[in-house]
Amino acid sequence: MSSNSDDELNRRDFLKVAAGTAAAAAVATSIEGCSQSDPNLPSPLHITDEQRSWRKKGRSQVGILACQSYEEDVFETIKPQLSSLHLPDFKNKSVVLKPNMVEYREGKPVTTNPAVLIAAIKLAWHLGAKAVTVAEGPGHMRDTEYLLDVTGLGKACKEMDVPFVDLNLDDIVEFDNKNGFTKLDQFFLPKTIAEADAVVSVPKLKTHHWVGLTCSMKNLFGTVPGRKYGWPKNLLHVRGIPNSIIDLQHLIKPAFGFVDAIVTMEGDGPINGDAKHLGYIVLGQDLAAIDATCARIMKLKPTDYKYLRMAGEVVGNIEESEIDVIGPTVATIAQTYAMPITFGSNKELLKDAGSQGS
Amino acid sequence: MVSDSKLKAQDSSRALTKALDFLCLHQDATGWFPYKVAGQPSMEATAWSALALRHNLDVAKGTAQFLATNQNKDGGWSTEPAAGRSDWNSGPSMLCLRLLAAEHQEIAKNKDVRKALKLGLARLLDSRVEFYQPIARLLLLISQGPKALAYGRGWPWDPDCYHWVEPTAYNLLALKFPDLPKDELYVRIVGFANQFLLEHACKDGGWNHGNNITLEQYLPPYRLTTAEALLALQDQSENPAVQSALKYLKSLSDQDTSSLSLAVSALALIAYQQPAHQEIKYLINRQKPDGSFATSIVATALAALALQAYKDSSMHVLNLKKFSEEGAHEQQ
Repeated sequence: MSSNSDDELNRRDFLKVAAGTAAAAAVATSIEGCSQSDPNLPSPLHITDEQRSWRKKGRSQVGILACQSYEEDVFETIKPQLSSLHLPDFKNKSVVLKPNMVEYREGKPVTTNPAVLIAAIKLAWHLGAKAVTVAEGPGHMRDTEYLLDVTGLGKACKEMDVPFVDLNLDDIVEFDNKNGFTKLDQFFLPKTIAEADAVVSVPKLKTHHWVGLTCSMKNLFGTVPGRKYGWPKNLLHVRGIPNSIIDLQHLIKPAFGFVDAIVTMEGDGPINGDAKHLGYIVLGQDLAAIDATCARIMKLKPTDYKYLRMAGEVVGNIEESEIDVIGPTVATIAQTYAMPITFGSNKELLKDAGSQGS
Repeated sequence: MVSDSKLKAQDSSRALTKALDFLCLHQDATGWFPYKVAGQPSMEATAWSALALRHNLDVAKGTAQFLATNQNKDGGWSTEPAAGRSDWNSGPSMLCLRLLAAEHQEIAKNKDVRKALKLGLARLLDSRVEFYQPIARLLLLISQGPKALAYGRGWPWDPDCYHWVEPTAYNLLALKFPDLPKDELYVRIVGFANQFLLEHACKDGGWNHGNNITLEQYLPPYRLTTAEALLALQDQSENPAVQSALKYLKSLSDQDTSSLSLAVSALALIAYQQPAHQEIKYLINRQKPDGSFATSIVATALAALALQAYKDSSMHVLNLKKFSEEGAHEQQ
């Protein structure tokens, strides 16, 4: 009797342990639609011929223009250096400038500095724009009125008499994305972006705990409307941040990038990191080349980051040999950046990217 | 400009009238409201605006019909008609439809509305985040018992994504107002969603978008999300996380931050029987000559709702206590 009872108990215990083990395994792999492996692992890129055909042809140019401080008139400081650059023709075009205003954190260089936004507005006018609009859809906070106020970006728009559009609440237009990397058949994007003659990405250069760095291409996440995708725009993480970056880059086709690399962020970017002075504006027409150059300025190897590897295949140039740098050589100005803990020896943390905000 | 230290009743009444007049001007003939003047339809703007104008039967009927007509087959709503799969806008849309039906018998009896309400409630069950596939749930149940499945679960912004504070708050409001559906299933769902919010409160009180801790760093709360979550958690008023959030929200009373955050803060504070004079004073000073607030019609609608609640707490459309008392009276 007791023997039988023990046997039963053992069998039940065994079943419970076995089920527990199986459950743990199933749980570890079954978070429906929400799991994401390390987005930066050097896995083979699955790219179609159609996607490769999107890539820019020929060499790229990136300007690195010295500007030490936001106290200066940034545009006047860089203006003498502009003549040596191939700049886009904005004559009679409506230009939308997209700064980074993802969130506010007191004392942290999270957002594009207003002085840089003002310089970008002046540059757009200088290049002949008939209309300039500043537009952004903050990623974490619905409260755009508050963000415009505390970041100083609203004041900058008023000073320059340039309208601001909250892309989170803008009218929306459906974009076909059947050939995209995210496997989303369509994207709904703001009408202001869809109807612009030229979109200019005006990001803040920062480290980024899920993809290594955020610069001119990752900044495009702020064009995705919260009215459809929420705050944060979690779908972009769930479908893979590098995939989303490249799809947005392809759909929006920004004409120009104008990077605030005067005071940048290192450590746990893009929100909780620390300020790091660099002292440059980085600009150009090939956003892949801009981001790859900024990575090198941060002493990062572009091919270590999946979104840049993908950009090198389907957006533009990321190889140093294909990029003409106007300004100081990268080696002379590069600085070592403290990286987020996600890029330390333990890459397991990167698996959390899907459930986190920016 | 409200300049003296004491807010006069006529200041808030005047501001309310102007805000409601502004909203009336921007309803489309087919019942919807846009996010911005002359914009496309927005389900969210429609929901909050119609709630602010709920006493106007024509407005309410137009909106109820619009929402019922433009409900997706799965029972949810997209940000505007034909804008892809159902998304977080289902929460505000459902909240609006339920409250309009509670306000007007004529709407409650409408066949289309009744069908939409039934479908909408069913979708609230199906659209929550699910972390485990059925086999994993079964194995968890076998190995660890029912407690293993009692994890906090809220709602995502978009299908197949994680749960976040704001969509969870909107869907909780849609389930709790005017009253929780009788079925035990809804009680359990509300319990899990409450649990999710309570577990994701920030360390020192309040809520942000939903990441209270990331990569070993505690993240700070936001004013707006804290107020939204507090509105959704009125039935948990004694919970320490709720009390802590309320303390955080009250600590911001002297900060004139934005129309949206002031309006929702006032709604939350009044719902918890706390003073909101300062919030309302700042809010009124932000009103534009045409009666609007900020640049979105949602901000104006929420400001109008806050001004109604301030004027008379029995007019507070998101005051759970009021609905509980009304329900008790009806039962008597």
